[in-house]
Amino acid sequence: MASFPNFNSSAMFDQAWAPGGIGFQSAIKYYQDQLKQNGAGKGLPQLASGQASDAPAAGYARQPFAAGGPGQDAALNAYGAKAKGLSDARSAGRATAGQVGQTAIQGANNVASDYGNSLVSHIEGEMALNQAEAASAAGGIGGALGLGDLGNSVLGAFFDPANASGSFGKSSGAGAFLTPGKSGNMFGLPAAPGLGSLGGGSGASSSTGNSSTYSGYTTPSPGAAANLAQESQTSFPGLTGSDIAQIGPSASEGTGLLSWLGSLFTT
Amino acid sequence: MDTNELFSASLLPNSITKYLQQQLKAPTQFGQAQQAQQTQYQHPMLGIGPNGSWLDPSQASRVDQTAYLGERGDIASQDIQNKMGYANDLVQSSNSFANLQNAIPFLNAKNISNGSSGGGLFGSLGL
Repeated sequence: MASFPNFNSSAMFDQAWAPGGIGFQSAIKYYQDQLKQNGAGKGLPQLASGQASDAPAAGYARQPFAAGGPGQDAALNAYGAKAKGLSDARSAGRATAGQVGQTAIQGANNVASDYGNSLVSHIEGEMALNQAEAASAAGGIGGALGLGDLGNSVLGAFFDPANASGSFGKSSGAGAFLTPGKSGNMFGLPAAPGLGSLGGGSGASSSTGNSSTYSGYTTPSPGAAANLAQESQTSFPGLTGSDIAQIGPSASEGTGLLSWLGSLFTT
Repeated sequence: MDTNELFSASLLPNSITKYLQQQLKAPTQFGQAQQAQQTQYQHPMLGIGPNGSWLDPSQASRVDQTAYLGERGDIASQDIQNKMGYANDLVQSSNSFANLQNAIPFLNAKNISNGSSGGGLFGSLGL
């Protein structure tokens, strides 16, 4: 058996063409043939015996699938088809993985977009609802007094701070005066971060409290605004027609109101 | 519910945006095919052909090289397609993030406006 110094062939022994394999002699013949044909040498020492005869090379040439043999094209094509098949399979796997990843990202994008839009719509809806309820409540006692929005915003807060709706309701202004612990500012504005409370009343928290959120807009109690007129009679039984006339259409709305407000605090 | 909810909601498109930016910057991955090719190139072996015959390793190597180059082409093409998709996704995620961020000051301003004119003291007094 031939040997190859400094060549680790242990990994090849399982191959048919490896030294000792059934195809090894055929391989030896092939390279011997090459050496002879191209004139590169006189043959490897291990193959010296082969130079004595052309019989091995002649025998090799008759084998199909050898280089230059009649079946080599078929063998190479088969091998190439296998290699290309493996390559195509890997490419198909990468394409599928890419599509899966793409679908996942698009799905996440759609969810993020829909969720954000839903939140925006929800907040806008809350704001619109609160504004509509504030306007509706103003048609109650405020309307009766001829004060428009002031009815809900100011009087409603005074008469029933716990149930009054509107930005001047329980989360702000007079609500804070009459209901310690409620936060807010004097003007019925939801306190903007950094603006600070302009007058939260006794026990009122700073602008970093719940007045900086929309929680003050979620307080309307069903029927509370509509009952404000009735409740006002209970809370302020002394409120008479003359009081109403004092701040009624015959006087300037602002002057009459402020005068009446001042009387509440000084008496 | 307040606009702080929108900050939290914007974290999702923001994280998607960052992920896609990383994907777009990532180099094309030829590693798998390259490793297989290098193994074949560094260890040329005679191949077993049909009917128990064998293949010349140099010829088999040329076949492998052709398949390898073809696979690199497939990988590059697929990578470009993926990145085109990522770019489109990046546009969408960026839009979602920007829309949510823009909605926050808009809604805050709108709410302040509503509070002033609808129920605020100044608005009620016509001031």
